[in-house]
Amino acid sequence: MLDFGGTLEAAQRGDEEAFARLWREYHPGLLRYLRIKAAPVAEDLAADIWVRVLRALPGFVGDEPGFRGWLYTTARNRLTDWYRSGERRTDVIEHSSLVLLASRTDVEAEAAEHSATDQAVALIGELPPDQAEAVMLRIVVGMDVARVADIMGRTPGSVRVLCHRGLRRLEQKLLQAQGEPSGVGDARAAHAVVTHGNSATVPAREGQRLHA
Amino acid sequence: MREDRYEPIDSGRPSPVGARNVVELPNLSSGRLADLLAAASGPGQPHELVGEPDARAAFTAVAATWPSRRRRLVRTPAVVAATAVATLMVATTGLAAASELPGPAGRAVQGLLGSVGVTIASTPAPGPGSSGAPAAPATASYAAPATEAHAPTGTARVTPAHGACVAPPGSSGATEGSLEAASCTLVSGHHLSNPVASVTPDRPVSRVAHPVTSPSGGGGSTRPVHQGSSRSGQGSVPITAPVVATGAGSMRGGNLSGAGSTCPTSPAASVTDPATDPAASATDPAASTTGPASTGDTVRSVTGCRNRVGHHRTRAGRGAAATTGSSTATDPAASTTGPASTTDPASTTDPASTTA
Repeated sequence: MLDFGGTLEAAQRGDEEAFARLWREYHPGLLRYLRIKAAPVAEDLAADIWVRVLRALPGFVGDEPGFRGWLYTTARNRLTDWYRSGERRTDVIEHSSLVLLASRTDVEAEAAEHSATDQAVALIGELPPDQAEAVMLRIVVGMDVARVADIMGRTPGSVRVLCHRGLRRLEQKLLQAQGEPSGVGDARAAHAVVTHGNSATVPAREGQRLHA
Repeated sequence: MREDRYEPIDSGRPSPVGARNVVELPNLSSGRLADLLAAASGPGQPHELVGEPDARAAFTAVAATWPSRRRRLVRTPAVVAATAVATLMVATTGLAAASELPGPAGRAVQGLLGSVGVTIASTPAPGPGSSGAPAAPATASYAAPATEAHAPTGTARVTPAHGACVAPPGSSGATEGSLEAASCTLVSGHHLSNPVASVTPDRPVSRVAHPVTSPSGGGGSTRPVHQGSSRSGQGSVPITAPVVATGAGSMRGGNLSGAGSTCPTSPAASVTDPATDPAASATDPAASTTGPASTGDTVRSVTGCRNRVGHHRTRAGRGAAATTGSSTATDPAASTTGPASTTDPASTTDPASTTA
């Protein structure tokens, strides 16, 4: 278990190992959050966010939930900057410049290599953006409703509603993946049936759409 | 969690939404959804932690730019010391200016400093309706004849018409609320070119100090007020006519000077131009101690001469009516144009100024 107070104080003194412990603790969740918001540039944004956090780290005063909220507030601000700027502008690639390469591995085997965590995050990322963000921050990251509402700029009641709707939709997706007719869904969620602790998956039924 | 399920309230009537619309929260403790969320919040995967060396390098680079802890420890006391010095300077300035400021500002500063425990002993408080006019000191009593002790003393003296207020010899400073008679030169515009006309009455000034009811309140205190008459006759006329005036709007047309104080008589600063200040014009019997009927000349009141010891300050155009009206109405002897105060008999008997 991470001793947050001592680790943070050591990191603020310049202890690299202490900062590495903080990074290992918080970076995976941050990366998953960024993956549902800006998947193509999640790694780059995460690195930029950590640099921002590092610059202000000596002046930070607070406990672990405060640090977590500060980190994700910084992440959301960086995301906002990314959305507003032209960084997300799609570059035009000439078709002639593309080179077709054969895959070295089987796609199914490659998919099987993905962990249950990635599949779960991918399934959450299929939710509407607000619901996905609320579920990520509230359920996956584990922040309280008030802090999530503060980060998202919403009321706590709105965050609760978003979480509830997101969870309901996830549940429907899971039921849909099991072949149970449970309303509108997408068959792409079928491969996201997750068993806890391992990466066992059910092969996707590609192209099949279920309709209620 | 079954306890999270919202059950419809059986109120005896059919539910408008129906049982199928009962909100049921997802089960987060068991089931596929719980497994999904547990997997999403699981520990970091190896491929998620591949950037640790880069993060360490970034930390090393950024941490080199952090201000050192020692520098912060030094900087913090320096900031505190600078703030303390600045606060002390402001407080000292305010304390010094409190006795020089006009009434409302002085009281504001006094209140401000009083809130931090600094007491200003002598700050004049103006009466209602006369902003900036000095009021009686709080220690003065209504019926106390102590005003006699504060009666102006000294001899009238005419100084050369350069606008200097010279403290009379022997006056060793005025006390609070008292006015040391000081000779003051009236500068009267076009008569400045005739210094010969300056008169020096080296005779004692009548000691006139009568307690007068102060309409400005202040607990019914009395205070002596110097009101020098100013006129422009055949030349500069000395004004050393101490009077007892009321608390409101006192000291019009005169100036006050303590021991050693001088009053620059810049026309803009110390002379009220009747053309620009109707209240100070000669046609106002209350405003001027010498009306135009007596002199037929333009009268300019010497104003702006500050008594730096007695904390009184002359003001033109304010409280003029209160000055003459109150003081002379209650005490005709307090007339500012008594024979002893001027050398021009013709101009001293201005009934408009003495009995207004």
